[in-house]
Amino acid sequence: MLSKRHTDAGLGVLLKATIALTAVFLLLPVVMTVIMSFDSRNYLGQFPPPSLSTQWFTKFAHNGYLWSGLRTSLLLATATTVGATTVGALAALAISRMTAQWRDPVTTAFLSPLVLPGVIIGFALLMAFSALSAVPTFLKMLAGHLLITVPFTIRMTLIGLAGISATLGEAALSLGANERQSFFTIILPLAKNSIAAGAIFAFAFSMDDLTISLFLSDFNTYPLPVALVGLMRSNFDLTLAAAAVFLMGLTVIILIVLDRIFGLERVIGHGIYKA
Amino acid sequence: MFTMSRRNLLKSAASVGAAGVGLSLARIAGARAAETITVVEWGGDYFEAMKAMAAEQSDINVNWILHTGGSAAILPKIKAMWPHPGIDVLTGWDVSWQTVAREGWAEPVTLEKVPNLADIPQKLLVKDGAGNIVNIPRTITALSWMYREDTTPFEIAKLDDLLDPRLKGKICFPIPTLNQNVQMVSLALYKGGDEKNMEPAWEFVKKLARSGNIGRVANADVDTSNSLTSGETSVTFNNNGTFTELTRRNFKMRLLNRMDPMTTGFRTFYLQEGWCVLKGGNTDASFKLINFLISPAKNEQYNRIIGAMPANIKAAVSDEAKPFMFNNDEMNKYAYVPDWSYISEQSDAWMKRWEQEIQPLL
Amino acid sequence: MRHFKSQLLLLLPAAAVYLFFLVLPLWTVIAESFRTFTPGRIGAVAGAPLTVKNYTEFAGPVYATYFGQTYVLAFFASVIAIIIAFPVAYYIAKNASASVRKIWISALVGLMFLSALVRIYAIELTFGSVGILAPFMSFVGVNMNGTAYINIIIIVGLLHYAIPISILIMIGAILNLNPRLTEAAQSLGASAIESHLSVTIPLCIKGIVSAFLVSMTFGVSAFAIPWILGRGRVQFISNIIYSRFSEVSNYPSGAAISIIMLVLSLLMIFIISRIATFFDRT
Repeated sequence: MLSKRHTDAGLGVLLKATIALTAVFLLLPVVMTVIMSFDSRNYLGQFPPPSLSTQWFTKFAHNGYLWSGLRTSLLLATATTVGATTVGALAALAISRMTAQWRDPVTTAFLSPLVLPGVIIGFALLMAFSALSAVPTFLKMLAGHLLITVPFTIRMTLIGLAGISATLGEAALSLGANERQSFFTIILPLAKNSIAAGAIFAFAFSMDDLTISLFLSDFNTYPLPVALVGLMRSNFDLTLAAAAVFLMGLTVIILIVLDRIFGLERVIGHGIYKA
Repeated sequence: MFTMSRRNLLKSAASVGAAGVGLSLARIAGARAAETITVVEWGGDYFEAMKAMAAEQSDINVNWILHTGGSAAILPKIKAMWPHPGIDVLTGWDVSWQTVAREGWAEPVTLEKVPNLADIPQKLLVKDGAGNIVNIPRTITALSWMYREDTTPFEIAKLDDLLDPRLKGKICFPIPTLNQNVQMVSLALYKGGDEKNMEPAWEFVKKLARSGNIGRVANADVDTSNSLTSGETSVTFNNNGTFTELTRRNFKMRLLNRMDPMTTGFRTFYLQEGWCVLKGGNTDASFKLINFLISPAKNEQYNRIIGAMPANIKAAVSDEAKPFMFNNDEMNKYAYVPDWSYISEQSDAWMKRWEQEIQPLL
Repeated sequence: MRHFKSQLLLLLPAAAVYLFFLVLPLWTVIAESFRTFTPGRIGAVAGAPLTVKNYTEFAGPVYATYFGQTYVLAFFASVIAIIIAFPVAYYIAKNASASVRKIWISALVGLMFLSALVRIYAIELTFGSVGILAPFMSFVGVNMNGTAYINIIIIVGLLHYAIPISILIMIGAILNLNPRLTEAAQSLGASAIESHLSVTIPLCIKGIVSAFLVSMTFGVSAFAIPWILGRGRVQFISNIIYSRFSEVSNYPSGAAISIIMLVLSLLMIFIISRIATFFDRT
């Protein structure tokens, strides 16, 4: 009995240590970046910086290259989110009404891009589009981003729809509502959280994609990750760290807004918890 | 970094609320309307210098793009978008021009379009299959071995010293796609081969990889300068731009040139960098800007900033560039001019060999 | 019948996306992979003769090492992520107060939103050979120049993504548990660790497999992590594909290796899901 309690106590300590270490591990690089962004040296030197300055933030503020990338990224992520959410929700609706023997293989087929490395998708799209040079770059990137986000929106919406019993929709139909009415008045409001979770993920994935955009972007239209890599690979300086700190700030704002609108826990809960 | 013109500002303002797709289309169409050209440039001092000089004239706006890897990395992008590459001027060097000439992308350069070309030595000009001039040279660049004195434990006197165990992890070796692998050509020459007989070089690099002395494999020049400034590595093969950049940041750098190549193995390679105007874009404005930038005064100013040798014979060489400047006698003794056309076709084979024989040993 | 038609109509947009942006492009990759490459050109020249050389080049132990490296590092990162994430997820789901749970979840989601590049760059500055931990590492006697250390940094880079996503996925699995089962096991005399091993973990196996699958596919396709953290000495398959495209313009070879990787990835998913079904049934 005693030894059991000891094991449990030991386990408790171990658990606490694991949690603390995990938190430190996940946060340390974030803290590091913030410190580096105030480094006063104009080259990559050893830590810690000898003195501090805000020069990188000034440089970042005047870096039209990164701002142009950020603008393209925001537009692209917005377009991707709208497209992927609509396409994904419609497909999920159709899949949820299928008989069991069809549902599984169709779902698997639609989730398949998730296992494809982004490099392959980017390369494939580049080769396919090179035959059609008239397609604007923005649309090419949109195509790639739709492909990697639609699986998420389908999956999330399916999870939400699974919670709604078919009888509810049928009840509405039997009460004289047509299919469209039952969709908009019964199904959509109930699946709202899951669809929102899918949309949030679509936005985040589109904002963060590097590999596909690296292949498809051009010299005038490029998203932020491509611009960041460009900066990293051509003219490395700590403007990058300043940009990173700015992005962190943006992330916090997005999270607060999402939390206010949907309740973060509820949305993410619906999305991921039921994986 | 982009010239943020009033037009651009207006466009950004208009973009609020505009749907993503439509806006992007409008943006591309709009960018073509005025005298704005898109130029691909190297980062660092090169870019800062060019940007400052282009700003001295007001006829042509420049939309700057930066190279993000070896200078060959941009070529597939151009190929994918040809015949509408979206760029007007490409910066490159001997090897890029070989590809540009083969693909037939260059708008022919003539004395009428670029009068200042008269002051550029003829032998720096590359011609395509039809006999048209492809490039407008602006700089002579030297590539050589160098090291950071304060972080290197002993004085490096010959290429064999790279195998010294005291240099464990201290070498930053450029990947074969960088500098078109002339670093390995220097090894081949030292060990009795040349660019067409690279076996001795591969043998040497295998030994080097096994020794554990290669601390980093550079994929771009920026890797080299970061690795040296941070103290990660100390010895490398790179261009005079990197050398000047580090010297200016008060790092004690030693250049390994003017040493007998037969006994030390340290060869210097010279190449020319410059511009190429691509077909189909705003070629007149491009040539106009380039002619302005290649004038003796501007060419001198530019090369002074980057610490390199001007291509324009009427431009003076700055003191900083003097260490790289060889007279005819020294040229014959210490420098080597490889067959650029031949080595430009070897990238694929050399890269595969690197993947197969060297990388697993690192 | 009307029902069936409306279903097809709903599926149509998604099907079009997959057909035009996935199936057709992959088909062009397959076609390119059988073309002969002319050195010095960019991609295969139109009408180049057909060949299987692009594939046979990758036969042999050297490229097997690259594939091995990619899959082994991704595998280790996924396993470590699960081992670390499970107790943390359990704590967040079961023991943490509502406000602490909210902070954790917000922070984890925040990390998911944080640009991958920023994260990798931060890891380089923390764990890299000149990072903040460098003096500590050399004090402890870690050789930061060894390939082993580079591999570890790459795993660290993968973990920085795999741990948060695994925690989030497993929180769900644990929340869905019936707490009475664990309590019942403990009241029957099992220690906490025994009851977890025998009750909690088997019941969460779906969540665990799901987290593992997500971490594994992420790791195998990793591109920027080895690109930036690998110091040019460690490369994943994605990096080789990109180099074929970008630096040497040998599209046919890049296409062939893409197809090989595609087949391997599908195979991997198939095997893992088979194993998962096996566990699910027992």
